[in-house]
Order: sequence, then C-alpha cells, then structure tokens
Amino acid sequence: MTDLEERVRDALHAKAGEFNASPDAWERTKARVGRRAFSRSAHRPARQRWLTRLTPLAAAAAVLVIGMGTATVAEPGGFSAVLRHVGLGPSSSPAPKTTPSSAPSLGGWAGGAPCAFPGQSTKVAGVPISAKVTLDGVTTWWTQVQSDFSVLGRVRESDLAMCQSYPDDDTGVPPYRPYGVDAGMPVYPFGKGQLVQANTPITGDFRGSSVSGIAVASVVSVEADLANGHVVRGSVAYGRGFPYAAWWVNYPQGISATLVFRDAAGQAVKEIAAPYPTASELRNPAPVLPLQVSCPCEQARVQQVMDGIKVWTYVGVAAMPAGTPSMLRETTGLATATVDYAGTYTMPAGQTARTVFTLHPTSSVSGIAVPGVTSVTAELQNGRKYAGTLVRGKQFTYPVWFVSYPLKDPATLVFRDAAGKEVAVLHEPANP
Amino acid sequence: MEILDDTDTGQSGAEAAVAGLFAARYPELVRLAGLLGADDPEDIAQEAFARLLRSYASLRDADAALAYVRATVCNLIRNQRRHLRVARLRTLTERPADVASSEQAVLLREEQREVIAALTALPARRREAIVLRYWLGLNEAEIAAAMGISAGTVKSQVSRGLAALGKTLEQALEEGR
Repeated sequence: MTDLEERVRDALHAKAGEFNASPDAWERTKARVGRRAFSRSAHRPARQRWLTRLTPLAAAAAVLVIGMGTATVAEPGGFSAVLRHVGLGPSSSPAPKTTPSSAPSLGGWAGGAPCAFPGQSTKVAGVPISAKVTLDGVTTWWTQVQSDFSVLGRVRESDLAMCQSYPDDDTGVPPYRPYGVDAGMPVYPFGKGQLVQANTPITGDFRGSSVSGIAVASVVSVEADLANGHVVRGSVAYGRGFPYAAWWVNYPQGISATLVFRDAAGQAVKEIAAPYPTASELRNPAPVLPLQVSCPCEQARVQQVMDGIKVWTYVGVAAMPAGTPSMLRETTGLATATVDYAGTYTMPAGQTARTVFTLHPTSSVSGIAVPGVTSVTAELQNGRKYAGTLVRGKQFTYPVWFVSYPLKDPATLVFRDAAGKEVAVLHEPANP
Repeated sequence: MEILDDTDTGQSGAEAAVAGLFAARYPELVRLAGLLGADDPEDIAQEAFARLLRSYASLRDADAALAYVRATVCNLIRNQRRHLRVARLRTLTERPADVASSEQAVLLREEQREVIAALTALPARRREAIVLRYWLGLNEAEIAAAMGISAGTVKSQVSRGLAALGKTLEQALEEGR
C-alpha cells in the first residue's frame, strides 16, 4: 500500500467514526417494511403502479411553444437511431411518421451489469436495445434485463429496464446501470392495447423535471403541456430491432404538466398527468428521521395545510456541546423528500424573530422566535390571516414556527405573546 | 422482476437472517452511507435493510445479502442526489454554516480533513470505489458487485480516483507553502 493509499485509508477510518448507529435502528427498519405504501402495491405490475401515480387528466390548453432542442441521439459504432423532434402543440401540423430501420441494433451484457449496452466487450451479445437519448449529459436507453443477474433475482427474460450513464462517469467505459431496477420498478412487456410506459418524473440538480419511457411504434411525438400554458417538446427515438421507441421530455422543475403522446396524424393517443408535487407524495408522511448527532435530542411532528392538503413536518433538534448552537433538522412530508433544513440555528442579539427557510412550492415559511412568543400569524394585504404553529421543547434553543400562506402575495408575519401583545413583526416579500 | 413481500412461509426465517446481518453490519453500512456523502446515513442504511427484508426471498443465496445491501446503499445515495427534492428559495444564502463539534475537530486531523475534502470533490463513482476499497477493504469483484460495474471498471475508477486525490493534495500542499 502506498503512502497515499494509507493516508486515504486513515482519513476514511477517522471520518467514519462520526457516523453512529441509533439503538432503535432495527425497530425503525422493521417499521419501514410495514409502513410503506410499497407493500400495498407490491403485487401489482410496476406499470400499474406508475399509472396509478400518473392518472390521466385532460390536456391543458397550449398557449406558447418553447423548444427544448438539447436532446441528441448517440450513434456509436454498430448502433444507429432515428430521432424526431415533433409535437409542436395542438395547433401544429401533423408530425412526420417515424419509421424504425430494418437492420437490428444489438448490444450485450457485461458481467455484473443487468443492462445490455452497445459497443463494449460483452459476456452475452445479440441483445436488442433501444435508441440512446442524451440530455444534459445523462444518456438513457432501454434494454432487456439480464436474466441471470444474481443479486436482483426473479428476472424474466422479457423484462426491460431503463439504463443510464451519468456525467461524472468520464472514464470512457460507461458504468451503465439500470434505473429503478433496485426500486422494484422494471419494465414489463406492454399489455394489450397499452401505448406508453413512463417512469416517475426525476428532478435534480439539472435544469428541470425529466420524464422518460418507452412507447409503441405508432407514437411519434411527446410533449409536456405545462400548467402555465407553455408546451415543451420532447424527443422520440427508435433503435433498430428494438420493439419500442424511447421517449424523453424535460420541462421546468416545480410545475404540473400533462404529457401528451401523439400519432402520425397529430392526434393525442395518450395523456398522462404529472402533477407536482403529487397529492400522494404530500399525504405520505416522511419517515421520522433519526438525528445524525448523539442525544440529547428531541423530535416533534407538526401538521400543516399546504395547497389544501394536510402534511406533516418533522422537526428535530439536538443540543450540541456547550457554547455551540443547537442543531436543527426539518423535513416536510414529501414521501421522497430529503431533509429540508439541517444546520445550526441562531438569532442575533436583540432580534425577536427570524425566517430560517421557505418551502417551495408548498407555500410555507418557517423560522425561530424568542421564547415569549406564543402565536404567529401571516397577514396578507387583502386582509386574510393565516394562523401558524409553534414547536418548543427542552432542547430547543428557540421555539420553531411555521406558517403556510400563498407565497405569491407579500405578507406580514406577526408574533404575539400570551397576552396578545405584538412581540415581533417580519415583512415577507412576494415570492412568486 | 418485481421485489415482492415475503410470503407467509419463510418470513420469520428471512427476518432472523436479516436481523443477524443487521446486528453484524448495520454500523458499517451507516458509515459507508456517511462516507459516500449521504445527508442522513442512518436513513439510507435502514432503507437498504428494509428493502432486503422485503426482497430476501428473491435472493439466489444468503451470501448475496451483504452485497445486495451494499449495492442498495450505493444506489440510494446516487438516486438521492438526482431525485425529488424540495427546492428551497432562500435557504442557500440564509442557512448558517454547519459547525463541527469540538469532538470532531479533535478526531479529524487537518491532513485527514484535506483528504476527505479531496475525496468529496471526486466524481461520485470514483468516490464510491475509493471508499469501498480503502474503508471497507473490498476486493475488485466485491466492489464491482456493490457498484454494478465490471471489475475492470473498478480498477480504473480506483486508479483514476487515487491519481486525482494525489494531485489535489499536492496542490493543497503547494498552496500552503
């Protein structure tokens, strides 16, 4: 082992000591198994779970067309594809028909990888793959799942998976891996009359929400009709020999959309609603997140109403060594949410209340106030008032407050003590 | 290839097997998640074991369970980076910096902090390969199973990761002189 390797090993061992296990971790783990909605839907095919989430709605009116134009189709050796940028909106002319080529496009499986891919040394060759679509550096394609992939088990030879490679993989040997296979979301062959399969929207550090999937050959275009009236064109690509088209659409994050799939005549043959955030996500409480630091610590659950839906916010606080601020963690009940806030929380001397963070788009502001505060109210210019909530505890340096109101309007947050006297006032600007 | 709940038969056996693995390996998985940059390492580790509980019956053999959990931890952290997040409008500028405890400061020497900082700056997969190799001490085949890549790719990821770490640390040393 070289000096550098020893330094890396020593640093990792020292750093690892910071991460500790809770004494009730096993109970929490078992509780997850019984609590998750997964168990209720696990016996349904994956496509049904997707379609349950993405219930069809009427298409939104198209007012303005904005182009995407960043999707490309890779054509490495032995692999070719046809890409169509179509679907200019309901008022556009019919889209040209996309015709899959006749020669097959084949890939192969590498050892330990359930994704078949083109152009690499392979253990098993001759596997049809879809066209590849590259967007924001992420390359996506579809393939059969390798039936003898040992860890996952229960793979049928006809199962498909969406595979991706990522921008940080710059080794020249793409480390393909299946998206969603680990989550129990493989793609099954299409059912009778089924036209489209879609994965759940992905949002991340790139520019928006991405949805992709596969479709039957009669689908030649996809578009996202946004709640604000804009229409974003997607891409549809065919790999030769693969039975389905790969489609992909990327639209701005944090807005509801309806995905509209059209045939060669321009007729909408399938519509899938992609609300943001979904009602089911808001209703499902987030797991009670264990604090990363050792106790003394406290955790409380606060119910809020956001966008007309009751949700839970989990607030945890841990006392740190004397002289350092307490650690605060807040998580609002999106099923897949990460911690919304984690850090120390302080209030400058002489101040009586401050904002810590704002949730978007769920219209909630949160912060801290001096101990004497017993109520918080958001007062809007139109006279409407929204009552908030306060959480306090032994380990809380300050009470933590929450108030939900339409953030597009400016508001005055009024904090009062038990006698009804104003203790603090914060002016929140409009946050459209 | 759906991961199904355990059937009535064998559920207790599966739970006992997973409980044994949990008792032996949970702290290790929490630390793996932490070293890979998980926001909440215990959350990741618990979710990985919960998935193992649900899918234990589908494993080809019991020896695959540890590889499955490791692979799930890696996958969950990758997905966490990319998946649904609540976008905060102003937190980035208003959020006060996290403060390391005095214990942490003592435990982690300056040089080790530099190594960890350099490791954190690596591309995710190189970081995974380095952590699996030098913290867990896994061999190339085991790392390949955990990351879902070939052994050859593991070798190149580790090699390139080490080279990048060495370069970064050398630059830090030069700047400190």
